[in-house]
Amino acid sequence: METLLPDWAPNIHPMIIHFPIVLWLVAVLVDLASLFLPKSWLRNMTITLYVLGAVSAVAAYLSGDQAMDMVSVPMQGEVTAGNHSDWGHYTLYFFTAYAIIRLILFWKQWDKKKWLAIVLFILGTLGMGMVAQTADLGGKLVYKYGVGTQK
Amino acid sequence: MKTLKRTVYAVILLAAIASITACSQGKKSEQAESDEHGHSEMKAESHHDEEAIHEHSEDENHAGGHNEMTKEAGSNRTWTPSGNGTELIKSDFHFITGSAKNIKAEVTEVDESQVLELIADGTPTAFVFHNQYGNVGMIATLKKLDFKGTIRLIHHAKDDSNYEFVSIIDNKMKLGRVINGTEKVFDESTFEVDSDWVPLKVTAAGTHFKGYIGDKTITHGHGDKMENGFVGVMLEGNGKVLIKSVEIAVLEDE
Repeated sequence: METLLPDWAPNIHPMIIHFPIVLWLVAVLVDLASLFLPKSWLRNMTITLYVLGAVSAVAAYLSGDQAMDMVSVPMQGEVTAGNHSDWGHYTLYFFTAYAIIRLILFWKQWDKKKWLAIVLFILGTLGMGMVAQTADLGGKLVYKYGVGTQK
Repeated sequence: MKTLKRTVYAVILLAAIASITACSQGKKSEQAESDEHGHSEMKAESHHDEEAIHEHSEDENHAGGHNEMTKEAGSNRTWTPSGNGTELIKSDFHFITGSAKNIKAEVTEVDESQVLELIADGTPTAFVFHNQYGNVGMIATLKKLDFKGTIRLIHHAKDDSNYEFVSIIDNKMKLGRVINGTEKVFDESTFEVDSDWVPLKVTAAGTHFKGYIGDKTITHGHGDKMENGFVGVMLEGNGKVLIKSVEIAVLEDE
Protein backbone atom coordinates (compact mmCIF):
# COMPACT_ATOMS: atom_id res chain seq x y z
CA MET A 1 0.00 0.00 0.00
CA GLU A 2 2.84 2.39 0.93
CA THR A 3 4.37 2.08 -2.55
CA LEU A 4 1.20 3.65 -3.98
CA LEU A 5 1.76 6.77 -1.89
CA PRO A 6 3.18 9.86 -3.61
CA ASP A 7 6.65 10.85 -2.40
CA TRP A 8 5.38 13.96 -0.63
CA ALA A 9 2.73 12.14 1.41
CA PRO A 10 3.78 11.27 4.98
CA ASN A 11 1.24 8.44 5.20
CA ILE A 12 -2.12 7.34 3.81
CA HIS A 13 -4.24 9.13 6.46
CA PRO A 14 -4.57 12.49 4.62
CA MET A 15 -5.79 10.62 1.51
CA ILE A 16 -8.54 8.80 3.39
CA ILE A 17 -9.93 11.31 5.87
CA HIS A 18 -11.84 13.29 3.24
CA PHE A 19 -14.08 10.31 2.41
CA PRO A 20 -15.99 10.15 5.73
CA ILE A 21 -16.20 13.97 5.81
CA VAL A 22 -17.79 14.25 2.36
CA LEU A 23 -19.89 11.07 2.54
CA TRP A 24 -21.39 12.08 5.89
CA LEU A 25 -22.01 15.67 4.80
CA VAL A 26 -23.78 14.56 1.60
CA ALA A 27 -25.71 11.92 3.59
CA VAL A 28 -27.03 14.61 5.95
CA LEU A 29 -28.03 16.84 2.99
CA VAL A 30 -29.80 13.97 1.18
CA ASP A 31 -31.46 13.03 4.49
CA LEU A 32 -32.73 16.61 4.77
CA ALA A 33 -34.02 16.51 1.20
CA SER A 34 -35.83 13.23 1.87
CA LEU A 35 -37.73 14.89 4.74
CA PHE A 36 -39.37 17.19 2.19
CA LEU A 37 -39.42 14.76 -0.75
CA PRO A 38 -40.24 11.29 0.60
CA LYS A 39 -38.96 9.38 -2.45
CA SER A 40 -37.63 5.85 -2.08
CA TRP A 41 -34.48 6.60 -4.13
CA LEU A 42 -33.58 9.39 -1.69
CA ARG A 43 -34.12 7.00 1.23
CA ASN A 44 -31.89 4.39 -0.45
CA MET A 45 -29.26 6.99 -1.21
CA THR A 46 -29.23 8.25 2.41
CA ILE A 47 -28.69 4.80 3.92
CA THR A 48 -26.01 3.96 1.35
CA LEU A 49 -24.12 7.19 2.07
CA TYR A 50 -24.32 6.73 5.86
CA VAL A 51 -23.03 3.14 5.60
CA LEU A 52 -20.21 4.16 3.22
CA GLY A 53 -19.42 7.05 5.58
CA ALA A 54 -19.10 4.63 8.51
CA VAL A 55 -16.92 2.21 6.50
CA SER A 56 -14.61 5.04 5.42
CA ALA A 57 -14.49 6.27 9.04
CA VAL A 58 -13.09 2.87 10.06
CA ALA A 59 -10.40 3.24 7.37
CA ALA A 60 -9.68 6.82 8.54
CA TYR A 61 -9.40 5.64 12.14
CA LEU A 62 -7.02 2.77 11.31
CA SER A 63 -4.81 4.97 9.12
CA GLY A 64 -4.85 7.73 11.75
CA ASP A 65 -3.83 5.33 14.49
CA GLN A 66 -0.88 4.24 12.37
CA ALA A 67 0.00 7.82 11.34
CA MET A 68 0.09 9.08 14.93
CA ASP A 69 3.26 7.14 15.70
CA MET A 70 4.85 7.70 12.28
CA VAL A 71 4.85 11.48 12.15
CA SER A 72 6.88 13.85 14.26
CA VAL A 73 4.66 15.94 16.54
CA PRO A 74 6.30 19.01 18.11
CA MET A 75 5.86 19.04 21.88
CA GLN A 76 3.44 22.00 21.79
CA GLY A 77 1.22 20.04 19.38
CA GLU A 78 0.89 16.97 21.63
CA VAL A 79 -2.33 18.09 23.34
CA THR A 80 -3.95 18.79 19.96
CA ALA A 81 -2.74 15.41 18.67
CA GLY A 82 -4.23 13.68 21.70
CA ASN A 83 -7.56 15.52 21.33
CA HIS A 84 -7.66 14.80 17.59
CA SER A 85 -7.14 11.12 18.36
CA ASP A 86 -9.85 11.14 21.06
CA TRP A 87 -12.40 12.90 18.81
CA GLY A 88 -11.52 10.48 16.01
CA HIS A 89 -12.45 7.62 18.34
CA TYR A 90 -15.74 9.23 19.42
CA THR A 91 -16.67 9.95 15.79
CA LEU A 92 -15.93 6.38 14.74
CA TYR A 93 -18.05 4.91 17.56
CA PHE A 94 -20.89 7.30 16.73
CA PHE A 95 -20.74 6.63 12.97
CA THR A 96 -20.67 2.87 13.43
CA ALA A 97 -23.56 2.82 15.93
CA TYR A 98 -25.60 5.27 13.87
CA ALA A 99 -25.12 3.35 10.61
CA ILE A 100 -26.14 0.08 12.30
CA ILE A 101 -29.26 1.70 13.80
CA ARG A 102 -30.16 3.26 10.43
CA LEU A 103 -29.75 -0.10 8.69
CA ILE A 104 -32.08 -1.80 11.17
CA LEU A 105 -34.68 0.99 10.87
CA PHE A 106 -34.34 0.91 7.08
CA TRP A 107 -34.81 -2.86 6.99
CA LYS A 108 -37.88 -2.63 9.25
CA GLN A 109 -39.06 0.42 7.24
CA TRP A 110 -39.56 2.32 10.51
CA ASP A 111 -37.53 5.25 9.19
CA LYS A 112 -40.52 6.18 7.04
CA LYS A 113 -42.25 7.58 10.13
CA LYS A 114 -41.91 11.36 9.95
CA TRP A 115 -41.03 11.98 13.61
CA LEU A 116 -38.39 9.26 13.56
CA ALA A 117 -36.94 10.59 10.30
CA ILE A 118 -36.59 14.03 11.94
CA VAL A 119 -34.87 12.55 15.02
CA LEU A 120 -32.49 10.58 12.78
CA PHE A 121 -31.71 13.70 10.76
CA ILE A 122 -30.89 15.65 13.95
CA LEU A 123 -28.61 12.82 15.13
CA GLY A 124 -26.92 12.78 11.70
CA THR A 125 -26.30 16.53 12.03
CA LEU A 126 -24.77 15.97 15.48
CA GLY A 127 -22.46 13.40 13.88
CA MET A 128 -21.46 16.04 11.34
CA GLY A 129 -20.54 18.31 14.25
CA MET A 130 -18.24 15.59 15.61
CA VAL A 131 -16.62 15.25 12.18
CA ALA A 132 -16.10 19.02 12.09
CA GLN A 133 -14.46 19.01 15.53
CA THR A 134 -12.13 16.13 14.57
CA ALA A 135 -11.28 17.78 11.24
CA ASP A 136 -10.62 21.13 12.94
CA LEU A 137 -8.10 19.54 15.30
CA GLY A 138 -6.50 17.65 12.38
CA GLY A 139 -6.20 20.92 10.45
CA LYS A 140 -4.61 22.59 13.47
CA LEU A 141 -2.04 19.79 13.68
CA VAL A 142 -1.03 20.33 10.06
CA TYR A 143 -1.34 24.10 9.62
CA LYS A 144 -0.35 25.30 13.09
CA TYR A 145 2.18 22.66 14.12
CA GLY A 146 3.34 21.46 10.67
CA VAL A 147 2.72 17.78 11.45
CA GLY A 148 3.19 15.61 8.37
CA THR A 149 4.70 18.43 6.34
CA GLN A 150 8.27 18.88 5.16
CA LYS A 151 8.82 21.82 7.57
CA MET B 1 -42.37 59.94 -16.26
CA LYS B 2 -39.81 58.38 -18.57
CA THR B 3 -37.29 61.06 -17.58
CA LEU B 4 -37.89 60.37 -13.91
CA LYS B 5 -37.32 56.62 -14.44
CA ARG B 6 -34.10 57.31 -16.37
CA THR B 7 -32.92 59.63 -13.60
CA VAL B 8 -33.64 57.00 -10.92
CA TYR B 9 -31.80 54.29 -12.92
CA ALA B 10 -28.89 56.65 -13.52
CA VAL B 11 -28.65 57.44 -9.79
CA ILE B 12 -28.76 53.73 -8.89
CA LEU B 13 -26.09 52.97 -11.51
CA LEU B 14 -23.85 55.76 -10.24
CA ALA B 15 -24.37 54.68 -6.64
CA ALA B 16 -23.48 51.11 -7.60
CA ILE B 17 -20.30 52.23 -9.40
CA ALA B 18 -19.37 54.46 -6.48
CA SER B 19 -19.88 51.69 -3.93
CA ILE B 20 -17.91 49.17 -6.04
CA THR B 21 -15.04 51.67 -6.36
CA ALA B 22 -15.19 52.43 -2.63
CA CYS B 23 -15.18 48.72 -1.79
CA SER B 24 -12.17 48.02 -3.95
CA GLN B 25 -10.29 51.01 -2.48
CA GLY B 26 -11.27 49.83 1.00
CA LYS B 27 -9.89 46.40 0.20
CA LYS B 28 -6.66 47.95 -1.10
CA SER B 29 -6.24 50.07 2.01
CA GLU B 30 -7.15 47.07 4.22
CA GLN B 31 -4.54 45.07 2.33
CA ALA B 32 -2.01 47.86 2.83
CA GLU B 33 -2.87 48.06 6.54
CA SER B 34 -2.67 44.30 6.83
CA ASP B 35 0.71 44.23 5.07
CA GLU B 36 1.97 46.93 7.38
CA HIS B 37 0.54 45.12 10.38
CA GLY B 38 2.08 41.87 9.20
CA HIS B 39 5.41 43.60 8.88
CA SER B 40 5.25 44.97 12.39
CA GLU B 41 4.15 41.54 13.66
CA MET B 42 7.17 40.02 11.97
CA LYS B 43 9.33 42.54 13.76
CA ALA B 44 7.57 41.80 17.01
CA GLU B 45 8.05 38.08 16.45
CA SER B 46 11.67 38.53 15.62
CA HIS B 47 12.05 40.75 18.70
CA HIS B 48 10.36 38.01 20.70
CA ASP B 49 12.80 35.50 19.27
CA GLU B 50 15.69 37.74 20.20
CA GLU B 51 14.30 37.92 23.71
CA ALA B 52 13.91 34.15 23.82
CA ILE B 53 17.46 33.63 22.65
CA HIS B 54 18.68 36.17 25.16
CA GLU B 55 16.82 34.41 27.96
CA HIS B 56 18.28 31.15 26.83
CA SER B 57 21.79 32.49 26.69
CA GLU B 58 21.31 33.87 30.20
CA ASP B 59 20.36 30.37 31.30
CA GLU B 60 23.37 28.95 29.62
CA ASN B 61 25.61 31.44 31.35
CA HIS B 62 24.15 31.07 34.80
CA ALA B 63 26.69 30.06 37.40
CA GLY B 64 24.76 27.41 39.23
CA GLY B 65 22.40 29.80 40.96
CA HIS B 66 18.75 28.99 41.54
CA ASN B 67 17.34 28.67 38.02
CA GLU B 68 13.53 28.87 37.75
CA MET B 69 12.14 26.81 34.89
CA THR B 70 9.18 28.15 32.96
CA LYS B 71 5.60 27.67 34.19
CA GLU B 72 3.85 29.49 31.37
CA ALA B 73 1.69 27.34 29.05
CA GLY B 74 3.00 27.21 25.50
CA SER B 75 6.56 27.99 26.50
CA ASN B 76 9.74 25.96 26.19
CA ARG B 77 12.84 26.42 28.30
CA THR B 78 16.16 24.65 28.11
CA TRP B 79 18.31 23.99 31.14
CA THR B 80 22.04 23.61 30.57
CA PRO B 81 24.67 23.03 33.24
CA SER B 82 27.42 25.41 34.28
CA GLY B 83 29.40 26.33 37.38
CA ASN B 84 29.92 23.99 40.28
CA GLY B 85 28.18 20.61 39.88
CA THR B 86 27.31 20.02 43.54
CA GLU B 87 25.97 23.55 44.02
CA LEU B 88 24.09 23.37 40.73
CA ILE B 89 22.29 20.14 41.58
CA LYS B 90 21.33 21.54 44.99
CA SER B 91 20.10 24.89 43.68
CA ASP B 92 18.23 23.88 40.52
CA PHE B 93 16.76 20.59 41.77
CA HIS B 94 15.52 18.87 44.87
CA PHE B 95 15.62 15.16 45.61
CA ILE B 96 12.56 12.97 46.00
CA THR B 97 14.70 9.94 46.66
CA GLY B 98 18.40 9.59 47.33
CA SER B 99 20.63 12.60 47.75
CA ALA B 100 23.45 14.58 46.12
CA LYS B 101 26.06 12.26 47.63
CA ASN B 102 24.57 9.30 45.68
CA ILE B 103 25.24 10.95 42.31
CA LYS B 104 28.53 12.78 42.57
CA ALA B 105 27.85 15.76 40.29
CA GLU B 106 30.48 17.67 38.38
CA VAL B 107 30.28 20.10 35.46
CA THR B 108 32.83 19.24 32.78
CA GLU B 109 33.43 20.18 29.17
CA VAL B 110 32.77 17.60 26.45
CA ASP B 111 32.81 18.37 22.71
CA GLU B 112 33.01 22.11 23.52
CA SER B 113 29.83 21.91 25.62
CA GLN B 114 29.39 22.12 29.35
CA VAL B 115 27.82 18.89 30.59
CA LEU B 116 26.73 17.59 33.95
CA GLU B 117 28.63 14.43 34.85
CA LEU B 118 26.92 12.19 37.36
CA ILE B 119 28.54 9.18 39.01
CA ALA B 120 25.79 7.01 40.48
CA ASP B 121 26.61 4.71 43.39
CA GLY B 122 23.70 2.29 42.89
CA THR B 123 21.23 3.98 45.25
CA PRO B 124 18.01 4.93 43.42
CA THR B 125 18.21 8.71 43.12
CA ALA B 126 15.71 11.13 41.64
CA PHE B 127 16.28 14.87 41.30
CA VAL B 128 13.49 17.11 40.04
CA PHE B 129 13.04 20.78 39.12
CA HIS B 130 11.23 22.92 41.68
CA ASN B 131 8.09 23.66 39.60
CA GLN B 132 5.12 21.34 39.20
CA TYR B 133 3.50 20.72 35.82
CA GLY B 134 0.39 19.18 34.29
CA ASN B 135 0.62 18.66 30.54
CA VAL B 136 4.34 18.68 29.94
CA GLY B 137 7.08 17.57 27.58
CA MET B 138 10.71 16.97 28.47
CA ILE B 139 13.81 16.18 26.42
CA ALA B 140 17.02 15.20 28.16
CA THR B 141 20.09 14.88 25.99
CA LEU B 142 22.26 12.36 27.76
CA LYS B 143 25.11 9.94 27.27
CA LYS B 144 25.74 6.74 29.15
CA LEU B 145 29.43 6.17 29.71
CA ASP B 146 29.99 3.16 31.94
CA PHE B 147 26.55 3.43 33.53
CA LYS B 148 24.81 0.11 34.14
CA GLY B 149 21.16 0.38 35.06
CA THR B 150 18.00 2.30 34.33
CA ILE B 151 17.67 5.97 33.46
CA ARG B 152 14.19 7.42 33.87
CA LEU B 153 12.70 10.75 32.96
CA ILE B 154 9.98 11.24 35.53
CA HIS B 155 7.01 13.58 35.49
CA HIS B 156 3.86 14.16 37.56
CA ALA B 157 6.08 13.10 40.44
CA LYS B 158 4.82 13.52 43.99
CA ASP B 159 7.32 11.28 45.77
CA ASP B 160 9.38 8.17 45.07
CA SER B 161 6.22 6.00 45.10
CA ASN B 162 4.01 8.15 42.85
CA TYR B 163 5.22 9.32 39.45
CA GLU B 164 5.05 8.68 35.72
CA PHE B 165 8.07 7.79 33.68
CA VAL B 166 9.81 6.82 30.50
CA SER B 167 12.83 4.63 31.15
CA ILE B 168 15.68 3.24 29.13
CA ILE B 169 17.88 0.29 29.93
CA ASP B 170 20.30 -0.76 27.17
CA ASN B 171 18.14 -0.40 24.02
CA LYS B 172 14.78 -1.03 25.71
CA MET B 173 12.31 1.72 26.49
CA LYS B 174 9.45 1.45 28.94
CA LEU B 175 6.59 3.91 29.45
CA GLY B 176 4.42 3.79 32.52
CA ARG B 177 3.55 5.07 35.96
CA VAL B 178 4.15 4.14 39.58
CA ILE B 179 1.20 4.50 41.96
CA ASN B 180 1.76 3.81 45.66
CA GLY B 181 4.92 1.94 44.72
CA THR B 182 3.23 -0.33 42.15
CA GLU B 183 4.50 -0.04 38.60
CA LYS B 184 2.05 -0.09 35.70
CA VAL B 185 3.57 -0.29 32.22
CA PHE B 186 1.68 1.42 29.37
CA ASP B 187 3.99 0.34 26.57
CA GLU B 188 7.50 -0.97 25.95
CA SER B 189 9.67 -1.32 22.89
CA THR B 190 13.25 -1.37 21.64
CA PHE B 191 15.11 1.43 19.90
CA GLU B 192 18.35 2.23 18.10
CA VAL B 193 20.42 5.38 18.30
CA ASP B 194 22.96 6.64 15.79
CA SER B 195 25.12 8.62 18.20
CA ASP B 196 26.36 8.29 21.80
CA TRP B 197 24.15 11.20 22.85
CA VAL B 198 20.58 10.03 23.37
CA PRO B 199 17.83 12.64 23.02
CA LEU B 200 15.34 10.97 25.38
CA LYS B 201 11.94 12.61 25.24
CA VAL B 202 8.66 12.11 27.07
CA THR B 203 5.35 13.91 26.64
CA ALA B 204 2.24 13.82 28.81
CA ALA B 205 -0.76 15.40 27.10
CA GLY B 206 -4.01 14.70 28.94
CA THR B 207 -4.45 10.94 28.88
CA HIS B 208 -1.84 10.43 26.13
CA PHE B 209 1.73 9.55 27.02
CA LYS B 210 4.60 9.08 24.59
CA GLY B 211 8.25 8.16 24.77
CA TYR B 212 10.58 9.24 21.98
CA ILE B 213 14.18 8.99 20.93
CA GLY B 214 14.65 12.31 19.14
CA ASP B 215 11.62 12.69 16.87
CA LYS B 216 10.87 8.99 16.63
CA THR B 217 7.97 7.65 18.69
CA ILE B 218 9.06 4.48 20.47
CA THR B 219 6.33 4.02 23.06
CA HIS B 220 2.77 5.33 23.26
CA GLY B 221 0.29 4.65 26.03
CA HIS B 222 -2.82 5.92 27.74
CA GLY B 223 -3.84 6.40 31.33
CA ASP B 224 -5.87 8.65 33.61
CA LYS B 225 -4.72 12.23 33.85
CA MET B 226 -2.67 12.74 36.99
CA GLU B 227 -2.38 15.73 39.31
CA ASN B 228 0.40 18.23 38.60
CA GLY B 229 3.80 17.07 39.75
CA PHE B 230 7.54 17.54 39.45
CA VAL B 231 9.67 16.63 36.46
CA GLY B 232 13.23 15.36 36.57
CA VAL B 233 15.64 12.48 36.21
CA MET B 234 15.90 9.22 38.16
CA LEU B 235 18.95 6.99 38.09
CA GLU B 236 18.92 3.39 39.27
CA GLY B 237 22.33 1.85 38.72
CA ASN B 238 26.06 2.31 38.90
CA GLY B 239 28.41 4.34 36.76
CA LYS B 240 28.81 7.56 34.87
CA VAL B 241 26.12 9.48 32.96
CA LEU B 242 26.46 12.82 31.19
CA ILE B 243 23.57 15.28 30.80
CA LYS B 244 24.04 17.99 28.20
CA SER B 245 20.64 19.71 28.46
CA VAL B 246 17.08 19.32 29.66
CA GLU B 247 14.28 21.02 27.75
CA ILE B 248 10.92 21.50 29.42
CA ALA B 249 7.81 22.44 27.45
CA VAL B 250 4.64 23.43 29.28
CA LEU B 251 2.10 22.15 26.80
CA GLU B 252 -0.63 24.42 25.47
CA ASP B 253 -4.14 23.27 26.25
CA GLU B 254 -6.89 23.58 23.65
